[in-house]
Amino acid sequence: MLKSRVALPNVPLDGVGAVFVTQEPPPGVRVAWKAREANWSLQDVAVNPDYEIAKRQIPDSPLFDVLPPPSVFAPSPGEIVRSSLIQTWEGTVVRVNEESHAMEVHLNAKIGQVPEHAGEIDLQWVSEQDKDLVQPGAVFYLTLSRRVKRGSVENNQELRFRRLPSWTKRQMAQVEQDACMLLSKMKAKPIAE
Amino acid sequence: MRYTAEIFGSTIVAVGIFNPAMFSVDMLKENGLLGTEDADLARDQGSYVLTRQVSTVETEWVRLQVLENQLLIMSKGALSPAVRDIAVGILSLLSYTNISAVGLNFFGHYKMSSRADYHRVGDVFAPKTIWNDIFPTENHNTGMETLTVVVQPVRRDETAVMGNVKQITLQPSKLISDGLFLSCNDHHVVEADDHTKTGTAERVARLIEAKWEPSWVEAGKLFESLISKALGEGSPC
Repeated sequence: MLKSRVALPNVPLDGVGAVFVTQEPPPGVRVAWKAREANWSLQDVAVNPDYEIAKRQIPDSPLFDVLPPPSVFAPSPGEIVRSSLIQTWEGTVVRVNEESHAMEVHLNAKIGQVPEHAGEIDLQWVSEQDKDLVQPGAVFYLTLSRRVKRGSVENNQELRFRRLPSWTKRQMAQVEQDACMLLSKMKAKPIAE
Repeated sequence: MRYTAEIFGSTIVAVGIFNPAMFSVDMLKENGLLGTEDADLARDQGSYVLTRQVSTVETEWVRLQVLENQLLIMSKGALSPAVRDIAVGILSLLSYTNISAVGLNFFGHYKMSSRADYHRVGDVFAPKTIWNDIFPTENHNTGMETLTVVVQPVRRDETAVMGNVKQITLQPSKLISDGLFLSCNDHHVVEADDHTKTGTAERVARLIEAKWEPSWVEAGKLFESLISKALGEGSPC
């Protein structure tokens, strides 16, 4: 049976610090763990396809007995996707043309010295969940990549709109308060005679 | 020669005190950080965990893991600034949380054009002369498994005031034959602000917003430069 939380001895936590976490798993779910130290690298955490490989890499760890078997960070071999990035653009919606069902955009390439350019993107490429974000000023990312999955190579295009947290009531109240203060300091401009 | 990573990704890791149980798919969706389709997918994933000690949420493009002392966001597939945005978004919601350090991490798997090049890179960064003296090549084979170099923003005779460092790691790739794995940990220490008595999460969110993309560009250039220099090709840039 899995035990309670275990911390690695003498391992300082840093930016990518080491943490072993084990716990009683709720029914039907797997337990998460992450281990970078004790010979675990970021690479191991990201790509180790299964528990057995992981186990071989830290054979003498006394902590190992309390590690739960599967990791949420361990995709099965079939799930490992190689994605070679070709280009990412950061785009801004300039105008939405409902008639032609397209959006006029400005695109800034993130890789290489490519000048900004304008374009038009058909709204059919925008996912359903992002449709309500399509409005002038909205930021999105257009990513082109070459994917290798289960032995086949495919070009992949992804369009994802920028998502920021909704404004909280406290933030809204603060904005209102600031606006009121600004308004109170404003004076009508004197009319020249 | 320009080297392009077969796989390139990023993790953003914040160290602090967190309440994993609050990081549900619904919380992320309600706050506008996940779309409806991403949220539905994340709920259906076998990896979705929501407990007091750990929570994990996974979509097609990002993985989030929250422990009581660590928040980790990891890209999946082709890297885009959406990973930065979700990190900034989450931390903006935690304005009263104290974060003591943040790591902006990038990693890449690079395919070498030949096995000879693959070994050459290893031999340049970890010369085998001493090792081969001790373990003769007639019956031994020595190879580099992992090499981590720490870079502090000070001269050798100076003492670093802040703990900001870069850690660059080089390993054989476990995914690509004759491939190299390179990672760069851009580590930032966050000092508590005694004056405001609020958490540092908001400040960390701004730091990520400002530094993640330059860090991405820098890591890409660094990886290419290390490979090129090791192969005696000069800088690719």
